[in-house]
Amino acid sequence: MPPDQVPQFGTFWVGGAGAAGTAAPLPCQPIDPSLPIYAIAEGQFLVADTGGEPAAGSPTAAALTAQANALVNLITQIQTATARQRMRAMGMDVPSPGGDGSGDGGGDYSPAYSGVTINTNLLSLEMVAVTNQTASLVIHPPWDVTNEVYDLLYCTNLLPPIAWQWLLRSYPDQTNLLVPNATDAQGFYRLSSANDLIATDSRGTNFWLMFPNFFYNPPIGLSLYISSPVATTGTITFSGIMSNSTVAFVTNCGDMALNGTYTLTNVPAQAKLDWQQNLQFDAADTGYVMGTNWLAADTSGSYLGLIEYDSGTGDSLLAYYKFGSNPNGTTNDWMVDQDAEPQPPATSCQQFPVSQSFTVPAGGGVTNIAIDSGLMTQAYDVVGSNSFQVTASLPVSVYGMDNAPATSATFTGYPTTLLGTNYCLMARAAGIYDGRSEFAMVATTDNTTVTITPSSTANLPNHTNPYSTSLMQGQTYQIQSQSETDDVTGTLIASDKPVAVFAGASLAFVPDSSTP
Amino acid sequence: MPVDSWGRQALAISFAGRAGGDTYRVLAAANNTIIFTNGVVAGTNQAGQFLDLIIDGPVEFRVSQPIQVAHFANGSGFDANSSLKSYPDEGDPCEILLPPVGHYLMTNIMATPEGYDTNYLNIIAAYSAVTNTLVDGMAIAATNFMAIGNSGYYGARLLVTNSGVHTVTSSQPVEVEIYGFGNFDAYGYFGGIVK
Repeated sequence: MPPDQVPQFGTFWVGGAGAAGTAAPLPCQPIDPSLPIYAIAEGQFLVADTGGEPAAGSPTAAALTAQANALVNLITQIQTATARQRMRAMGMDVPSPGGDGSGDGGGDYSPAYSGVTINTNLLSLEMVAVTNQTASLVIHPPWDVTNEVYDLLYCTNLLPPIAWQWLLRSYPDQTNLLVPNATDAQGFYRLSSANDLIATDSRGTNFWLMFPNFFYNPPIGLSLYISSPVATTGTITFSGIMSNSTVAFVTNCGDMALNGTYTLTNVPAQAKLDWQQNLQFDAADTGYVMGTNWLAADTSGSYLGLIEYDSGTGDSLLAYYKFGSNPNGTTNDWMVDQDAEPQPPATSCQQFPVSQSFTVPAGGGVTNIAIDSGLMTQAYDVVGSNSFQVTASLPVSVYGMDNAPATSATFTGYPTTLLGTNYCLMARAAGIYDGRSEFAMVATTDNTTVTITPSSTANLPNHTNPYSTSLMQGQTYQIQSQSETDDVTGTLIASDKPVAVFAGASLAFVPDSSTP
Repeated sequence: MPVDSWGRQALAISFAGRAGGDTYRVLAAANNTIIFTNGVVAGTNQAGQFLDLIIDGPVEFRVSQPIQVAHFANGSGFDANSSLKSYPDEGDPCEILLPPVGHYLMTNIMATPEGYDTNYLNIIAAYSAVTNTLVDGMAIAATNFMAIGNSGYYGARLLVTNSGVHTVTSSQPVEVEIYGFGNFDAYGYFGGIVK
């Protein structure tokens, strides 16, 4: 290139007699302005520092030949990578490495192509310093790009094939990177689009989870541990229940007495009569559990009632009711009976789905979210909706904790990106009378068909052969073995869309039934 | 874990505070899966079959086809008279799935719940990352690490506080198990997995 057209900054690969192999490139023009410079790709330049033509057969010539070969390969790689970046920028599909079969890697670049200087239109990675074996790097995103996530890659030499090693993923607001263990004599850092080189991991921004039916000794404490290395916000959304689940979960009611867990029950005829005559249920009625809040459905499925227990009088009162059999709905769907004229409730009562936000504080850490015990899915072999969705502004880990005396259980949650459509269950036999081998699942997408092939030891009720069930997003299915000696391990679950699967034993003796 | 997240190598060291070894269950997804533990053939599984083993000390699972390994703590009756425990009924079963080697996270941020007598971390790191593996910002004494067979990985067990947040970071991905024991009680989970 003519000297006056060579940009001040760029990537300058120096080819010279002294170096054995390809050395690290320079970020700016070489000090010696007399060296010839060739443009090899966008922002990439080759500096000829050979000191003239060496004599044929001399050691210098051999070294230069080897170096030239390495350099040609390198140029090919740089030009291919640059071409891919341009294609990405234009929204085109990028061929996989080697996939185009031409091997010439970027033949559309003419030798007269002139490079560009690093400016605010470009993404660049500034290597500031290495202090105490920690490298300080700064990401300079293009001026019009915000909150982009990058992977930082590293290798110790650029001889092809380059073995880029994934080091870390930046957070969207992160520009300063610190890399420990920077002890190599020579190393190369590179920014890459997230997920270019590594697959997904168990930190995510979207989870569909549930608490399967753990056997527990009260008091049970369900909670979620949500962790992140940086400040993060997010939301937990409870799906609520469907009419064929057995518990409901109500929160955020203006009338605090209504918050809590409701058991879905068919209203006994006598209770309905009592309510029609006296606008209340009384303790003399049987067929429902006094002393608890409950959600009532009449046997015809024409209405639902939230039944509030009044500890002062010992009576259960119909607090609100709504038509139909689906408890999901807006506030105004729920009515109170006043003078035989249905009215919206005087107090605001948030219905399903219910959301609550969470925050991982600045500097990162774990936030502990207490979960109402009513969210544990207790029904078996029916489709329910006692799931919940966790969404986050940045990737988080989500761990489920069931802290109960002598009966604790835990799980590591998988985000939707890590879920699969093919599971072979790891569980175990309970070996103790109150325990059962069991499994459960949550669908992440509407119209998911799940096919379950019970293992020979599963002994599921009603299902000995492969069977299918259909789930909508957030719907759950759970089933357990019939006796404590059965084991669902090896049961196959295949689905046409990703599902989250849980398996184990509700309670177990390990290593065998003689070990308390 | 979905079958496509399974691997051919898994590593573990025994749970701290317990004696006589832990129970491992190795599950195969394909026929004729030959299972090696610390270089010795332990068995051959057909698809959907499992192999239960009780192993004391570091263990490397290597197999001919992908497996899922679960690491179980034994019931308190298994080692009731162990001097490692404060009282005979301390401990209970818990289950932790082992992420395959090469699929660990570099940053693991986890919490210990309230109410357990002891809480521990089991950390497994490549040799070159041993000195750069930090727990709550502090290096781990090299003497805490034990070699896991010929895998090139080392494992350490650390006592940590109740009801607290614990961060394990490293220059390379590490396997982290967090667990604790109480009166006929136990919990345990792993930090995460990269697919």
